[in-house]
Amino acid sequence: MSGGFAQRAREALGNQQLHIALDRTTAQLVVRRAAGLASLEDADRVRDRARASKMQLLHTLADSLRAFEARLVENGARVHWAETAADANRIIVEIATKAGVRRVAKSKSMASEETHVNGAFERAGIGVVETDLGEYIVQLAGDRPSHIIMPIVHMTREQVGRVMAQRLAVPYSDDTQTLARYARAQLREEFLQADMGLTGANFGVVENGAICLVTNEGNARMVTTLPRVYVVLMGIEKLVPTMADLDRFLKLLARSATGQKLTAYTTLVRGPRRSGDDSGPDQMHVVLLDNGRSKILAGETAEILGCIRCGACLNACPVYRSVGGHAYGDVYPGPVGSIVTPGIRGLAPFAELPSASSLCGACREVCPVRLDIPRMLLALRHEAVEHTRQPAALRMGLKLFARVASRPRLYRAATAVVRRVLRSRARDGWIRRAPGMASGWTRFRDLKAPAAETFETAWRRRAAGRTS
Amino acid sequence: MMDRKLTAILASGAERLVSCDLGCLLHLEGGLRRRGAAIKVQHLAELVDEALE
Ligand code: SF4
Repeated sequence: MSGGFAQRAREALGNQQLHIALDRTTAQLVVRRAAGLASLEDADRVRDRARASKMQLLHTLADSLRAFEARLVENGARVHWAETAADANRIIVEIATKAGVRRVAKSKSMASEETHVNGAFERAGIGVVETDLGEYIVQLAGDRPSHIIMPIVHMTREQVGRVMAQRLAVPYSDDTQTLARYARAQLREEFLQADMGLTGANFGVVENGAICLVTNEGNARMVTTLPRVYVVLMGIEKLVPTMADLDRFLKLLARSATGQKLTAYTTLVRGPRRSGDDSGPDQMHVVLLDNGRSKILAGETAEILGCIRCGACLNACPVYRSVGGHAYGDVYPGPVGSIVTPGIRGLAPFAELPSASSLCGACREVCPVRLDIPRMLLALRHEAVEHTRQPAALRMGLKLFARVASRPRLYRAATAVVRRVLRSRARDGWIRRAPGMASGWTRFRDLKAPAAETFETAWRRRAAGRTS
Repeated sequence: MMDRKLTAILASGAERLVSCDLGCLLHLEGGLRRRGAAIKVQHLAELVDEALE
């Protein structure tokens, strides 16, 4: 990953293809989400209750995890705990090697993106294929996903057509139906050949140990039933207490993500094949991944662990819509990523992310769990300023400003000078090209010259006029 | 970001743009002027003041 957020964002802003692709999809998703939520009776209450149950669960996460583990074991699954991404990969590759696995079929999983398990498989000489259509195309193109639920939102269908023509030796097409058919033909074979299935989990239900997966392509269903070994890799925060809670979250997730009332396939897995079952894996493993989550839970941004990865905050965010997901520099993009990424990867290399927001609050408004994203962004900005190295010019500038602004007389004198300089530059009250540090402003817009009289003096004068 | 917003504002056919945030006002009015658009831009307090006169 080269440069920082600012540089990547600048590159993205100049990318015409990216803009066409982003605009097409995000605008559509915003409209669909609104319609979707409108179709839910008492949506506000459902959101409140979903939030309350998530926050309560996070409060007693350790207990819930123990209960969840016990149910999983009763159901016949084996449970593994992974403190870091590397631990998770090691555990999963070990399961695969022990079982003599040669080929893995994956269903879409953010946790596995986070640990980069594909690389670990490849290093161990095990083949791996993504079976979510978007992720499959990302894999074919050697690219990275740029959206939580729409991994290839950054690609136009023409680009997808070219990738497929090149990698699958099929005739070029930009018709989405044809492209989906190409992928389907390939993926059928993969499902049948794979001896291990790997998925994430949208939810884990504490009361009965069920793993819940939602897809629109049915691929998770294939991955969880056809291969003889099945592995779940999930973050420790993905739990919901009961099936009744799950019901609420499913309603919210589908609507917030795509506007659907329910995702096309909802899969619940409760253990490996039992005697008498026609299909299902011989072994099932659940890997519970921490990777920084405990640390997040103990800090200012604990709330973010309530995120259900619906992607609504990405689509709503004016910054995301302008720069796309890759600019955020890691697996989780958009407003949610600006909080999660510093949490799991450390703030220092990602200190710019919390500032990649105008704090307009669109994310908080659409978040089904009502996470207060702007508040957390501010908390991280604060932390970044306190604990990471800021550019010297910025540090000095802020120090100087603090000095001046905390002395009223000095402040008044300083602003008077600035006011005079700016006014001398203006024509009809407007400045087209500002000097020095203010020149960045006038690259894209005019600057209004300060008023002749400050608000303070005008107020005093008017107050005096009224009493006399 | 500004371009998208300004285009939407102009497309709405509004005669006035009112906001409570000084930064936003400065930003958007500056952008509108650069485009040569003639929408009146005001702070909410200005609008109230005008209505009270
Ligand atoms: S933070 Fe909220 S809106 Fe954003 S992905 Fe998570 S649940 Fe969805």
